[in-house]
This record gives sequence, structure tokens and C-alpha cells, in this order.
Amino acid sequence: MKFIRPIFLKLLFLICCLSVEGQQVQITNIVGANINADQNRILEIPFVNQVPNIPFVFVWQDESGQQFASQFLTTKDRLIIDLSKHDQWKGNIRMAGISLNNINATIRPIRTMDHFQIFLMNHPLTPGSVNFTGQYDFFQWPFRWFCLALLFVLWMILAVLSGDIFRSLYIAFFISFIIYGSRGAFNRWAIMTDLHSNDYNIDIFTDLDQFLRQARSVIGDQCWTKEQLSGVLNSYCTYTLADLCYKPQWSEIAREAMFIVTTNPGERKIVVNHGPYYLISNSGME
Amino acid sequence: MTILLTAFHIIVDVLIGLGILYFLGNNKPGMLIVTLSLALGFLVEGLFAGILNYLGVSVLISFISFAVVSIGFFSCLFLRSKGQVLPSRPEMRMPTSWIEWISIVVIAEALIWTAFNIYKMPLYFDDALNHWSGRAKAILFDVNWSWVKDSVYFLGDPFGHPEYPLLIPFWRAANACMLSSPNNISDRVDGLLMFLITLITIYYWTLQITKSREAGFVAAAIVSSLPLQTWHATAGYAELHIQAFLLLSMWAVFNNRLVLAGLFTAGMIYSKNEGLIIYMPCVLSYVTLRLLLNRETDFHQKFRGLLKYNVTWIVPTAPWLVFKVWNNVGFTIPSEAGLGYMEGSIQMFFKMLLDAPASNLFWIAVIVILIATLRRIIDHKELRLLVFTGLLMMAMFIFIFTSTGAYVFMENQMTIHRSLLQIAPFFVLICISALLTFRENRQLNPIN
Repeated sequence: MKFIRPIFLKLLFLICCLSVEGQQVQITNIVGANINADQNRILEIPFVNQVPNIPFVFVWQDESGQQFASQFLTTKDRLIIDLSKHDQWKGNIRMAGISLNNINATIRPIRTMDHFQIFLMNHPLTPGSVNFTGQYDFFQWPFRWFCLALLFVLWMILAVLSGDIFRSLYIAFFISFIIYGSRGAFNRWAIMTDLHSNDYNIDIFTDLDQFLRQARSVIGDQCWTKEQLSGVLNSYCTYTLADLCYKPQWSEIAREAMFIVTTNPGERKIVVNHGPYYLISNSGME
Repeated sequence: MTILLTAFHIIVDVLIGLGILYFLGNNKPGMLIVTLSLALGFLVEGLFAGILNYLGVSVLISFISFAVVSIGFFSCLFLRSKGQVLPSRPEMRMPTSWIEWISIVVIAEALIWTAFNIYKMPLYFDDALNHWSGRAKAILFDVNWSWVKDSVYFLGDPFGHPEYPLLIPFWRAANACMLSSPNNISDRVDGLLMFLITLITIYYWTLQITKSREAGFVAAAIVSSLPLQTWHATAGYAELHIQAFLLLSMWAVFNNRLVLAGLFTAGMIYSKNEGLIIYMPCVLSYVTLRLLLNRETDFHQKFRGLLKYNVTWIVPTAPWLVFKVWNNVGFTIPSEAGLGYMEGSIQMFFKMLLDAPASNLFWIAVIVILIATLRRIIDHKELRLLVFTGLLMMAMFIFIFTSTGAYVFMENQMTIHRSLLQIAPFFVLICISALLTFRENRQLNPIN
């Protein structure tokens, strides 16, 4: 009977459509069942020449049957994720799976080399990169605390050796800060390398860029408006077409626009379509 | 082509700046003179283009007129002064210590990455797409732009907040006016310029206080390593403009160049609203205290100094400020939250300051250094005033983030770290100076 339970659970999992942040995500790749979360905290996905930065979801179910999910981005090669960062990764995990097929991901205990890999892992470019910095962990401690400890240790050592507490603090401040800054610099260049491999195109703009190029030629001397796009895409669309007559969607004159940029065309007449973006005519229905 | 046109644009700004500095006396190191000239030119051009645009002149025509005026003005001065208007050649020396070498490598890395990023990466971040480059594009093509209050296009409202000042949009519009369309370089190169201005100013100012070239390099290297600094040099935001103009204003007050200080304060005010709301009162306090505490000057000189500073920031910004008041445009982004302390916000502020990856290490180190050097700071008149002004800026931030609608921008970490970034270089200067300046009861410099 022992082997039936996991199989039953897997089947249950497979037929479930897990709700992840309001989206229905089909989890078909079961990574493990009956996992001790305290001992097993590393999710390893052996990507090989994978297209990076594609979102995927990791879902798990705790003993009480409650489901949790977290979204990650694919990387070019092997990906290591420290699951202990999630408060809900605790106790006995009934089942865990990812939304990527044909990949033999595993959940296992942490090894020494994992600490180095976690430390060196890149923080991808996001719209928030300009507002805050991600945390680099080294042996489960924030790297900045290591640098702060280094500052104090260096200060003490140099002060004892030289007898000048001020110059010692000056050198300790400089060295610890430069080491901390170097980790950030390393990440900056990694982001540029990622962009280079993508011919300096930003993934989320690729479809929108192509769409806007086509839309521009259709709009011509007419006016356009838009229905709200998500996040930075909305700003990017407004900026790219800022040289064409624009009727802001929040104004009364929006209805005077000949064309509407939207991701939700409904029954309206589609003039241009690329990926999820549509340019629709404001004059009639299809 | 973009690089050539941008270089021409920068030269035009530097030339007019050199001319203005010649009238104000330019007995400073050559590299610093070029830096000051660039900042001055940036400001003058923004004002010039803004006023002409209000009068209905296109960006292209206003830029050509500005270039003619700048080159003509400089040429006349060059001939009249027999070449004295030119800055002196910067003194080049090989680094002498390992600290200098490391600092130069760190600074060079930051600059190379910034330049490379601007050259290769497209415009990506939200505020740049909206408030700064979005409005610049609207100004340039003059199709979604209006100076009329009742228009939906009033001050580029469809792209960004009309409350935000226009120095950056006008400079970017001018930068792109000779291209068919703005691109990633024309839209963001000013960030690199402001980064350079910050680094050069911090280097020379630290050198001036500590008399140590190494300390100058170390201060510049720490500034270039600050988390978010290089991102802001490439992002197309206004943070580094505020940072550079603030540093220049403070440097100018420190050197008793009150007219220059006023002009750089105007640059700050015309760059972003923090310039008027947060930093102008702090610089004004610094000016006032320096004047009041100077025993070598009489009341008349003190009053004249204060007048000089205030007139030189008020006159250039008056057209913009009057326009805003006249059209009932706010000096901050409208917020539903009123004034008043938000429960738990002070704890959150210190958590952001001392326990966030973007700030933590730096600000803890600053606190440690300020405590360790407290005696020196108290004994040193210049440092005492600089620290007082720095703490005043921090107090302003604490008030803004804990007791106004800006609380939300601390809660979602949208602006808290980049706001603190603006004053970080100033604190680097204070810390390095406090650590390397020997205890002496130095007198204040006499007022010009």
C-alpha cells in the first residue's frame, strides 16, 4: 500500500489546476513527494542552453493540503533555488511540482558548493532594479553583513598594527565597501551579458516593439489612444508613439482617436495584431 | 552620428559655462572648471529652451540659437581675454599608492559600464519613459504638448506629472532635435554627465579638505560603488541631476562662491521638486550659518552674501516658479494623505536605512564614522557645519517619508533608496574628510 499513496497524490496533483496568483497554471512535472522541508531545501533544475528569463511556477502542498506557489525565471544553465527563503516551505511537504515539462528537477539537501552558487547567482534586470537592490546571500547570511563584519575586523586589526584608529577606519571602510560594490558590479556585467545574448533586446518589449512598428505605419497622421497595458509596457507604448497624435485614455477626447492600442480587442475591428497586442479601429465593430 | 551630435551639444554647454565662469572668476583646477561649466551650461540651456518654447519657438530653432549665442559669446571672450577664458590643463600624475590604483580601477569600471549600458541598452525604466524622456519627446515633436492650463496636454500630462520641472526634458529634447528621433543615447547621456560631475566634484572637494589626492580618489570610488549609483547614471531618471547640483551648490558655498551656489541651487530646483522642497532650505541654512558664524565680516557683508545667494537662485527659477503659481501647478505630486505622522513609519525608515541591501552597509558605516570622529567634527568649524547640513537633509527626509504622502513610496521602496542616494556622496565627503582631517580650529574662509 505504501507505493500507492504517492501515485494517488501525483494523479491528484496532475488533474488539479492550481490557482497561482489568480491564474490557472497546469502543473505536470512532479518534482517530489513526501519531502522533509527542513532537510531538503534546494530545488535544482539542470537547464542546458535554456532560453533565459522565461517565467515558470514552482508549486507545493503542505501536510494540511494547502497549496503554495512561487514564480521564478529560467536561466541559461543549471539553476539552484533555496526554498528555505519561503516561510511556507516547512514541515512535511506532500508534493511539489514545476510548470516546466521534460526537465528532471530535484529537491535535495544543501551542499557547500550550493552556497557559492547561490551567492554568485545573477539578479535579473527588472523595472525595480532602479529602486532597490536584491540581497546577495553567502552561507545563508546577507553578504552586506559579511562586509560590515569585515569593516570592523579590518578596522581593529589595522588600528592595532598602525596605532591610528582614523586611518584604519578609512582603509577598512574603503576595502569593505569596494568588496560589497564589486558584487554589484559583477551582477551589472552579468545583466549586460544576458542582454548581449539577446541582441540587447529586452524580452518583455520584443513583441510590443514589433507591434508598435506595425501600428505606427497604420496610425500615420491619425490620432491614437490606448487601454491600460500592464506595468512598464504601458509607459513603453506611450513613449514609443509619443511623436504621434495621442488622445489620453483618461481624457474626454479619447473617443476622438481613430485607433486604440489594447490587449483585449473583444468584438472590435482589429487592424494590427502582434502577439498579445492589438490595434483596433475606434470607428466600428467587426 | 548621435555621439557626434551629443559631443557638439556638450561642447556648446561647456562653452557658455566657461564664459559665465570667466566673469565670476575661474581660478580653479582645469578639470573642475570644465565640470562647473558643463553644469552651468546645462542649466542655462534648459532655461533658454524653456522660455523660447513658451514663446512658441521650436526646440530645433532654440537649440541652433543657443549654439550660436554660446559659440559667439565664447569666441568674443576668447579674443578679448587673449585665451584666458580657457581652463588650465589638468595636472596628470601616475597613482602613487595601491589605494589610488584600486580606486581608479573601480571608478573606471563604473564609467565604462555606464557608457556601455547607455550605448547598448534601450530605455527601460518607468519614470524615464514617462516624466523625463516621455515629456522630452512630446516637447520635441510638439504634438502632445501644451503650455495652456486647460489643455489635456498641459506640460506633457499624458506622459508624466506636470508638477515635475522641465530642465531634463528640455535638455533631452535639444539633444535629440538634430536626430530623426530620440534614441537610447540621446535620452540618457545626461545621466553619465551628471555621474561624471559628481565624481569630479567629490574628488576635488575631498582633495581640497584633506589635501590628499588618495582621499579624493577613495571618495570618488566609494561614490561610484554605491548601490544604485550606476543604475541611475544610465536609467534616465533625475536623481543624479539633483545629486550633482546639490554637491556643486554645497561646494560653491564652502568656497564662498555664493553666486555660483545660487545658480547651482537653481539647477537643483529646475531638475526635480526635491530641489526646492528639501535641498534649497538646507543649502540656505548652510549659507546663513556660514555667514553668521564668520567673525571677519560685518553685518553689511553678511547681508550682501545672503542676498547674492538668494537672488541668484530666485532669478533663474522665477519664470518657472511664477508660471507654476499662476497656473496653480503644485510643487509636489498631489497626494490624498495629509500632513501628520504615520504610525510605525519612523521604524520603517530606519529599517530601510539600516537593514536594506541598497543602503545598509553604507549608512551603518557613516554612523560609525560620525561617532568615531565626533570630537574632530565638533572641533573643526567647516566639518561641523557640513555635518549639520547633512543631518538637516536627513531630517528633511525623515519628515517627508514619515509624515507626508511620500510614506507610500517608502513602504513600496519605490523612491526611498534613490532619495537617500542623492545625499550619499555628500556624506562620503564628510566621512572621508572627518577621518583624514587633523584636529585644528580652522577659521572659515572669508566671503567674496
